[in-house]
Amino acid sequence: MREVIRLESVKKYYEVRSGLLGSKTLKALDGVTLSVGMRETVSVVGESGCGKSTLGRVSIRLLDVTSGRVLFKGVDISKMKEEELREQSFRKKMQIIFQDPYSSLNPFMRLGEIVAEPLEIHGYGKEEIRESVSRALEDVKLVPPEEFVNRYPHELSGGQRQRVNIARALVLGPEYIVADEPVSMIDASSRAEILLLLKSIRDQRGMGVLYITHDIATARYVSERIAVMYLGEIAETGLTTSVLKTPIHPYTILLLNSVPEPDPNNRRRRRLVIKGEPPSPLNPPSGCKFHTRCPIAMERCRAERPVLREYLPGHFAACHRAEEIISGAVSVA
Amino acid sequence: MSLRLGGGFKIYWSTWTGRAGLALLIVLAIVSIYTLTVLPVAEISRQWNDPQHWADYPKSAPPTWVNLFSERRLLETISLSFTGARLSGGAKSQDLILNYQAETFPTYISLSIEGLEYTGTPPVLVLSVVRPDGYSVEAARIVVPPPRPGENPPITRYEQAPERVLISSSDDLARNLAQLYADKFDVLVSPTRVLQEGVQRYLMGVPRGGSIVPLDGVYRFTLTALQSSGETSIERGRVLIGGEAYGLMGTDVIGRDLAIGLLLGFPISLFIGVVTSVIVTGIGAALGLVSGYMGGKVDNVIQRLADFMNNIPLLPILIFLVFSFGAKLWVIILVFVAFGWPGLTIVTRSIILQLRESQFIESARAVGASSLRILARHIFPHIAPFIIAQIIFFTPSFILLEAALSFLGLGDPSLPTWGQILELGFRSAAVYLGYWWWILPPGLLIIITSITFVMISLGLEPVINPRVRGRFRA
Amino acid sequence: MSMALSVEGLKVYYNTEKGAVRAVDDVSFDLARGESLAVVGESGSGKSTLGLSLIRALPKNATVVSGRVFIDGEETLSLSLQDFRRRYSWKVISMVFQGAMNSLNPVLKVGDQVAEPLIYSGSADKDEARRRAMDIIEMVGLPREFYHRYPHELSGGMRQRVAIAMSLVMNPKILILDEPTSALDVTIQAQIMNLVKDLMERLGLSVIFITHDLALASDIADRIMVMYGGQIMELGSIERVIGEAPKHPYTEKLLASIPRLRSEGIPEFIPGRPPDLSSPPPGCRFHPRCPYAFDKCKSEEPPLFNVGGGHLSKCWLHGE
Repeated sequence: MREVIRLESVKKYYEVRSGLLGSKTLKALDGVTLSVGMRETVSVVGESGCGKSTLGRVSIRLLDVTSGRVLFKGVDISKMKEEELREQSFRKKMQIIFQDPYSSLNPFMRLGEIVAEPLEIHGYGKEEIRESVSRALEDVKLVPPEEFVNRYPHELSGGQRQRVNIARALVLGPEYIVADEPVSMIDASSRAEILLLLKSIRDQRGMGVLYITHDIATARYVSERIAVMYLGEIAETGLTTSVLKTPIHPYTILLLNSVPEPDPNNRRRRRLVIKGEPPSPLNPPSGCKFHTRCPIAMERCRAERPVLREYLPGHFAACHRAEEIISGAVSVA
Repeated sequence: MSLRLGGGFKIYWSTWTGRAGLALLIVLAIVSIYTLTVLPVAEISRQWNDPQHWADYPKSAPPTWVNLFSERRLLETISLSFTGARLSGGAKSQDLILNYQAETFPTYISLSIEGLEYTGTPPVLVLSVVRPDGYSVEAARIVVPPPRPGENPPITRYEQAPERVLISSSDDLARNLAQLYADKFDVLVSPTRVLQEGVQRYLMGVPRGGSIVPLDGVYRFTLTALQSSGETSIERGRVLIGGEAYGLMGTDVIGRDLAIGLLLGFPISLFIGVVTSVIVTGIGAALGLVSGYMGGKVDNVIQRLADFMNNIPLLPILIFLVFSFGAKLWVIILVFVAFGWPGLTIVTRSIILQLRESQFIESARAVGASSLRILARHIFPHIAPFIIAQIIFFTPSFILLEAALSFLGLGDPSLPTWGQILELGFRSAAVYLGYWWWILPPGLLIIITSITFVMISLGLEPVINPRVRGRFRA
Repeated sequence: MSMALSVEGLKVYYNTEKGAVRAVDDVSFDLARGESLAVVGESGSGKSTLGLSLIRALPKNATVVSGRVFIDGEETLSLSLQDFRRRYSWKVISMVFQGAMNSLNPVLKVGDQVAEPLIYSGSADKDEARRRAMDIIEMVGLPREFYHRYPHELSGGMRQRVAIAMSLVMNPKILILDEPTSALDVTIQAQIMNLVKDLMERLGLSVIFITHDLALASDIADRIMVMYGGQIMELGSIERVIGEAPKHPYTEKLLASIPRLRSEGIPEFIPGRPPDLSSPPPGCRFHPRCPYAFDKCKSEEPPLFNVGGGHLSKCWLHGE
């Protein structure tokens, strides 16, 4: 499978002022390696503050990297200037769909203008723009397009707005799309519609998609692969089926355990939960970053940072006790 | 936050402050336009700044309409004027008729002649008065200077500055009247006494019971030119019977018609308020925009500069600048701009900082929009309503500030503003002397103009800051 | 024995520019002592308004048009607001508001905020109130010393615990929780859900749990009440509605739209959008989006049919 995007040991650090003179380093991404293939969706799952949104933005150069490389079809775009990205068409080939359907559309612009803007920026002709806008609106099932082009965002529901976002992202014919929690802010009954739409468009166009979510249950049916992040690092990654069926990393196991299911048998049953809250990324724990909350942490976990290793076919985890977990020698839950 | 013009106006119109503010603004605008079109600025400013023009007027006179409210009627100033008079050696003369019906005497009487032209021998102008009782007296005599060497007829005189004779303090007339009173009424007064008591009293009165009382009736003022040959023409001239009241708005201590000054105050106040406000808002918002959007060093420089400008005192700087450049309108506006922008810059910056984090801005960056495009297409429309509101909101503060500065004597003296009228009034102790017509109108106009813009701001408030309308949680 | 809470024919309308918005439109239900009832609905279903009307904390532009609310057998909507606050607020019924964790006063110690109702109502002196607040803070799973912390020193989950502590400080019998976990990560959500379950058992609370998440509702509730367009669509025990099968098409579709972690199948979605409650559709409010709708649904509003065992469903599919 051809890779469309590849992140190599990407680090993204922020200097955060603390106190009067001092400053601390916030390691939003601390050495992440991940790739997305053509016609593939990779889900990035994690809690807020784990760096998943930063990862998405770094991968399309909405943010600069501190170190590491971002390769788009083999070309390193991590050091390119904004003008180069635009002139060499990378801004056309990489797009993002945002989380918030309310703040991601300029309320002063008509839908037609919103969807047409990317084409205008990249110098398309009027006629071409009109056709492309209609086609994009049709693709996202805002039909008939002429009924929507003159509307303003506030006249639409959250789900419809999100479809406008998708149309805007699609109109330049991108090869790689970051979908940053595209359904977390819309009503439950409309979520599946958006996700299925994204999936069918991906299949039609053969794009690569990075699907960022906190909802691991949705990751199951949109993505081929999953990466679970914790405090700026990938804790576990692999084929979706494998990760969900045989999770290795204790964090993944407990995360899956936290997800509620519509099942009356769960009622009043206490879940085994991860204790405490994620540590501050300003002051991350030594060794394995999860050791402070891990029920099976050992001395080694406090001292030595585990590396991602392949334990099952196409299934990697960064845990010192992975083998014991797989063999059933220790149990997390 | 969304602003559509039609809907916005509907909301604005639904507030009474909005309606009242707009109505007042229209009145202010109409008066200003009237002032500027019907009375050209040059003309008004001449009428205000040229002492020739108001030297004839009564000083510190209340407006004539006070007679409507007072028991004792104040004598109104009467101007008997003529234009284009042709006079020739006794054959032709200019008559001016005054029908005098008053309980008091005029405060003064004056004759002025403007634009005289003659051929032949230099004329001597004589103004004689025929009183209602038929007695006649020579009131004034003007000897027109002969041609200078090299000057060819027609000879013009009194073109730049009118020739003015204050009849009521003329020695000759006093002497003539003393003579008249001795001959006709058997009353013996010395010319000095006539001068002391007021020549006009004797000219327009009759003795009764030991004192002089006003003589009502028709007075005929006749202007003739004594000339052995040639003709004399006079462009403009008038006899002014000085009263105690003058015009619609009265006069100030040097006799200027306050109506002219107040009228000119309309366009000038609006100009200072609106122009300064537009410039201040423009610069303030632009710097805030750049500061908030660019961030980094540019942001730092602009913000520190804003802090600096915000914290140095305005007044000493202004006094210094007025001393260096003179009290000119542009200096004052410049200072207002220099000190006015920082507040708005700081506020705009914080709005932009918030806006910059919006996903639609990020979305624009993701599709490759340039900074300029993002600023123009995405950020500006969001702050435009706010900027318009700021312009209106700032306007009265600059009108007030200008008034305050003028009041401190730092205004541009070549243009009459309400603040300056007030200032001269206070300086002339108008308050203590009870010259209310000099203090109240400019004060009220300043207040009304400011309130106009405040009311418009209030009316715009719900348009710019839509409260939660029709939204609910469920 | 009377119910902890009963609501009869409650209607709450909002006055807006567009006219009356029928946020809660003829809602009746009971809450037994010690029972937990989940109120499930999407945005605009009227579930939050329902909660606010029970504790008499509706915004100014909302009016209770009709209906009665009995708490411990006493009608409370007819009480003066002052009376209600003195006798019921915090003491008998309290609510953890949506977003309460972000509404804490940033300049006050969280403990003082928890203790405030005690001092305000005069039911405890300062020391007593402080001791009681610390007890409650401990009960919601935070260390007693957290009394002295400020909100910004706490994480989201901790602040939500504080918000819950505030609602419990006067020992209410009925607790309304409005989306208590909607802004939290799933791992923290699980912690809070465990806490709520604990508190229900230890304090014998009757709970109304307002959520948009059917899965979360089935995690905690004895009974579930599904709302749509300001009305109850379905009301029944969790075993019947979720365990067996929903009877109402809306519940059925909503359940089918949930992404499942542990079962196969692709989630469905409900096309269309929720009704505009200033001019709701005639007939059944769900009919424009209902795959089973027939003519009658478009013109006549169905009643709540009893489909057995106290299980109610507002749908013409259940007959005439």
